[in-house]
Amino acid sequence: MQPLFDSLPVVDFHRVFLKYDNGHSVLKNIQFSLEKGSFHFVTGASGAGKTSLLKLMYLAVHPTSGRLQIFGKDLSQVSASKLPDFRRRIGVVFQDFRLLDTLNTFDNVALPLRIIGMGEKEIKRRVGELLSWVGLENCMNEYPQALSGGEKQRIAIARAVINKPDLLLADEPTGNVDDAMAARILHLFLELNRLGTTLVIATHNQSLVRQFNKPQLHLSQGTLEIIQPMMTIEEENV
Amino acid sequence: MFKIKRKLPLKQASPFFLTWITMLMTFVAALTLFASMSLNNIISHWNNVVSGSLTIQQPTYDLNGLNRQDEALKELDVLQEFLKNQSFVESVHILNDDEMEKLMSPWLENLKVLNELPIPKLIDVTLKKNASFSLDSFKTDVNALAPYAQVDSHRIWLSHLIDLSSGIQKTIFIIILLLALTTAFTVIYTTRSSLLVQENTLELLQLMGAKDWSIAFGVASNSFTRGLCGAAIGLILSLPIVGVVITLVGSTPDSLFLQGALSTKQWSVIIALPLIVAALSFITALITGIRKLRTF
Repeated sequence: MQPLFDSLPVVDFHRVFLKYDNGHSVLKNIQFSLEKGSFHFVTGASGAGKTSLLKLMYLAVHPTSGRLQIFGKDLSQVSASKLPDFRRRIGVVFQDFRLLDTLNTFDNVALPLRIIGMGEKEIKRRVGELLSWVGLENCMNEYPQALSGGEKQRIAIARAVINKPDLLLADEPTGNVDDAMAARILHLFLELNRLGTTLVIATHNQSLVRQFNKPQLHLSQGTLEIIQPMMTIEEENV
Repeated sequence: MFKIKRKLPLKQASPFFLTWITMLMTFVAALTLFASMSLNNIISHWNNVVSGSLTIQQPTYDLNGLNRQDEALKELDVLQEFLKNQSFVESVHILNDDEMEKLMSPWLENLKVLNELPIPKLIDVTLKKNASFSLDSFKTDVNALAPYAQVDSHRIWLSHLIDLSSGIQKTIFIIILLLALTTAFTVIYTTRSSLLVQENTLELLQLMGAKDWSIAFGVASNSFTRGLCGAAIGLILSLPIVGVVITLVGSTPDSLFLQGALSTKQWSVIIALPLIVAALSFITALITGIRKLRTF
């Protein structure tokens, strides 16, 4: 028998509104659910609220009104001391990478593992493996200042996935890498998705959206529309 | 937790500020504590001596200046017997001529005149420890046996001096309290500054699931280390001054202040100052850190 929580949506927005302190209303009446193991793009023009939507999902901001459930729990019912337990299950690729300048590549990627208290031996193995996979095995001791935008982005991605999160949120994860690396990164995401990670990628890149043909959470002036993927000829025939 | 501290840039915003301040505070606190404890010892000694003894003066001349030596000596014997039988009296000692000379020598150039002066006979009474008795009824009993005898409790002589010393001690206590508060406020200021400077880093750690207390623990550990270093230097710098004071006091021939020598326990408190300051820094930084992180 499947456990009950597996049947619950990983993310569930119910009439969520978000307004910042300056009074600017960013998101209006957002309502959608993401099932475990799903893959969605978040699309929309600049300023449409993509980053704000992700911020709600990685618990950086709280809804002004409405109900937001993550991993089946209503966040308004979760105490502040319990939030870290939720955050540890979420991997985030920030648009501006947010690498720590005082740490080298290895330590930046190892950060989420150290936070959960993993042993150094296992950390060394996992980080080494992942950095090799993203082609940064020779930059382990480099500091972010010495790296290119593409390299920083790959470190940010490695850091987000190192802990095999249940929910992976990526804000423009392929914005600074070439097409070949973008394809590799997305295949890494797909592999994680295949293993059960729920994936949400915010992007401007329409060719990426077309290539992967996944449902879109399309934002326009703070309101959300769900665009289902186009069916292939075979699927239509079925 | 320690790994987070080791690997993350959880450092003070003004790294040397806390070290300098704690060094200065501990330097002053060590000297102040040394002075306070010495003074306390002196006062305690005075209190013990004063409350543990009495002096009875038995005049050998009456109020009109007439010699009543024979009568006075008889009364002296009676008084001695009476005193020995009191339950609260430990010992009774009548000062002999040699002792009287020694006592008067600071004031008299020619001790030969001692016999010509109307100096009373003195009885030194040592009381039992924690003796409880009524001084007024004791005086009445003494005067019933020796009408001209005068009981001195010494406390009156020294009470003003003791009051002054107590006042100084209270002032020293306030100084130590102010030092502790200044140290605490310095730690609060540096911790807050540190957290504000590292706001982005801390927010990132929070978003990755780091618990507030573990981040605050990292910040507090830094405060502890810096506080300990600064306080240790402050203590080391204060020791030569303490040493000079001890040497100077020790070199005086018959110093009342020798009674102020610190006990092992008191020295332990002074030596433990760096740990106390570091612990104060740690606790203050931890509480400030947790409170501040909750606002992020």
